[in-house]
Amino acid sequence: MNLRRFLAILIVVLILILAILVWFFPSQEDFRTENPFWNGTKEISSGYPISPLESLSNLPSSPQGSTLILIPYLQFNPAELEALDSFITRGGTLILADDYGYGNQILEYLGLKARFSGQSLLDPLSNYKNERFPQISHFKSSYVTSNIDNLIFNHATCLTDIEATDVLALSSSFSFLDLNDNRKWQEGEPTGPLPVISHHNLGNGEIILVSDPSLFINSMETIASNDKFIQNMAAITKSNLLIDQSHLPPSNLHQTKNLLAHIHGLFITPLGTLGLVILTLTITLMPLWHERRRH
Amino acid sequence: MKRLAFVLSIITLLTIFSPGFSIFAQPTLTPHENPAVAESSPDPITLLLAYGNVFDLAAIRQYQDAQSLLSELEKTSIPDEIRYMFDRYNALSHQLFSTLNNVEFLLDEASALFANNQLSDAKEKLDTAEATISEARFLLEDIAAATSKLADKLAVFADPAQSQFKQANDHLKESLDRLRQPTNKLNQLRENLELNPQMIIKTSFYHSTFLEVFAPETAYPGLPITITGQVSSPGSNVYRTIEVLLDNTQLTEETIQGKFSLKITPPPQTSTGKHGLTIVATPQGRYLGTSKRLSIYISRIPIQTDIQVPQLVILSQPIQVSGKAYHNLSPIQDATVSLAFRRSLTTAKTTTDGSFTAAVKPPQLSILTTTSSNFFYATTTTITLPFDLSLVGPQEITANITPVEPWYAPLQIKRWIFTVNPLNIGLMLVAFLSFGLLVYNRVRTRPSALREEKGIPQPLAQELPPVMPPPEPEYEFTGIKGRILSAYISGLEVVEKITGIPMAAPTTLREFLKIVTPRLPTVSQPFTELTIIAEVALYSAHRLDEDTATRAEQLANTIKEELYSEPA
Repeated sequence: MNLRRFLAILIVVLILILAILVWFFPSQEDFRTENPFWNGTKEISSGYPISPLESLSNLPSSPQGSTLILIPYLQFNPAELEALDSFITRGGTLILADDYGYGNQILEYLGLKARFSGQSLLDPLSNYKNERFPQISHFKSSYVTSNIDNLIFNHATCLTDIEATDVLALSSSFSFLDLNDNRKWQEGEPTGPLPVISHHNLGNGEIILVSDPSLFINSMETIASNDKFIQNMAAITKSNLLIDQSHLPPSNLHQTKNLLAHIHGLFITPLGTLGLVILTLTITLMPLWHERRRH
Repeated sequence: MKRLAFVLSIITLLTIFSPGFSIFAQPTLTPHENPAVAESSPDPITLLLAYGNVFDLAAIRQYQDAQSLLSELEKTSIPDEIRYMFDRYNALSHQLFSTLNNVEFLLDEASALFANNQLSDAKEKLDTAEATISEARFLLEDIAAATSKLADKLAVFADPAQSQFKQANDHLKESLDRLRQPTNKLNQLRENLELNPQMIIKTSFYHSTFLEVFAPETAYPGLPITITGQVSSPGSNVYRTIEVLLDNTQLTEETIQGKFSLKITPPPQTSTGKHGLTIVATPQGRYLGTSKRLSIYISRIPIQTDIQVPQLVILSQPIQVSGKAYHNLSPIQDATVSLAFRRSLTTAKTTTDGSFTAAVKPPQLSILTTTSSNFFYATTTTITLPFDLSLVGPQEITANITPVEPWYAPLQIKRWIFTVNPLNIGLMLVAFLSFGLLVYNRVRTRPSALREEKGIPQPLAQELPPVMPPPEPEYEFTGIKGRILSAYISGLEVVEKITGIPMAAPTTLREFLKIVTPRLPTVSQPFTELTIIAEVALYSAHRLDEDTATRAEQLANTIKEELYSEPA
């Protein structure tokens, strides 16, 4: 075997090994439904009939009875904002769970006064382990907060400009917004109780604001009554329970997996399969053909 | 060289692909952390400060606010080793605030009694107040002792170098000292009232509210249920406002006194499943508000139906369906009955006795067609034709019954009916017959075509010329090798002639020998020897001599003599 052929085979083998590794390596991205680690959402997507949504253009055309969980860590384009508006006004339920993302872009587009503060909500006393896991135990009676004793948030924020009638949950009196990120309360920093969950009607649908998307990750689902919150969301959904995956920052691993999936998709088409078979046969039979020509 | 190339290529490829290894790296930081590995860090400073705030509120006789803040403190994350002490401390504080509140209430009552000249009753209240004040002082001493112990325990979790912990501890002690003031003030009030019964005193107390509620476990949308209960406050029986909410929706608000019995109706659009029922006694003056939350299951009552469908249906005719909808023998009136058969849909309503009758038409095909008798004036119209691809067989018909009363559950019934489509069967028969006739005709006409073919005269078989063997090549051999080969060829010719087996071009000398040996028993040995000598002459580098050539010629002559002398 000459050197050139050897190198070619070696390169191909290495590429194949790398592709297989990437394909089977589990996702580690936050909020991804295929991520089984502490920061993924595989637990809720396997425990409830949740369908991941890779694009907002795939929202159901009849959204009555449908619920969309949206974690907006990427900006939205006008078409996406319009799709969301249409989804809600025509009867869908949007659960907008945000802390430091682009939730306010959506709220502004929808014409709501409510906003996500974007500052850290800390609770030095009523918490789980430390002040970055504030405990929420003030609830207003609602189908959203039904059967919930307390929720534990994880690096959360709070809501601002919320009407008292729209508030569904408040943080404790000991919580505060850490405006200067020094983890200590200082004069001028707003103190609790602060609104963290609210409900707003819009057209024929409704929007529920939650100031911490970490409620949905695998490691938080089993703490306190966090799972009951998700149960309540599933209970109000009559048709589709969707979780948007298109506004989560994609890692290199995710992009590479997508590329491999795209290539795989090409190969499983009739033309692609045919091309692959022809290529394989050509490579396999080429030495024989050369042999024949030589003789 | 290859090993070096292998190693170099591995290194080169790893270098090329190393940026891609970042795909296995952790994602960029996002604002949450793994709770399983998060560090537990109790904040004793904030806890002491919070207790200070609680006692400050009680010190200015805001007992209700102090109780509320204390209730929130009970949810604080506390290390297990001090959990019991923490719980007892909170319980003592609650008791102290209730006691102080009670003193205020007693003094207020005594003042009212004095104003009404009910001196003995007023005196009794004052005596009770005095005893309650003693109890409050006793509790205060217990709390002061417990505060020191609690601070010592919490100091373990604080940074010893931090002066903030000492400041917080000092602040708490000051707040506790300030809490003695209302106790002393209340005692002063009591003494003043005793000396001057007509004195008007200002008290700050609140009445707790107790709420007891009983509700059924199941309710139905649109059907009223009764909730009973009682709202009370110690020593009073005032009118209170009660609100009843189902999830977030207020169902009723009424003003009641003591025991109550309220009729509420879950809204018709309420979904089935578990819901929260909240009964709220709203705050009123000095009377605290309270609420109670119950779970209630919203369900819908199932209905029954008897439905009759024909066993056999000819599809050109409508399908008659009749039936009755009821619940526990009571008829379901005005319910919408939707019958679906393939693409056809029809609706009907149940009558006063719950019965219904409907006819489902077979699936229709709408065709736009032009109708006109006037060339200059044309109209289009739609005609419908019964169209169904089925021939014969069972098909499903579905009936959906939707009652108008929201407390009844909709019902869906499916039945199988045997359908016969005579139009399609007829068309199919015609098609088969036509095809059959076509095939039959073809088969019939085929033999004449064959006879015609036989009429074609066959060409005479031409005689093929006899196969002549190719002319024998002429060899010219020289030297010893030539003599050996000439001898072999002469022997070969005889063998070929006698055996009738020519030596083919691709056959080797040895192969030919093997073929003809069984037919030449008498000359097999000399022909074998002659073949070997010829092979040596052709292929061997061995130098041939005169004797070998002579031997070959002798063998050839022997073969000729033997074969020609044999009888035919």
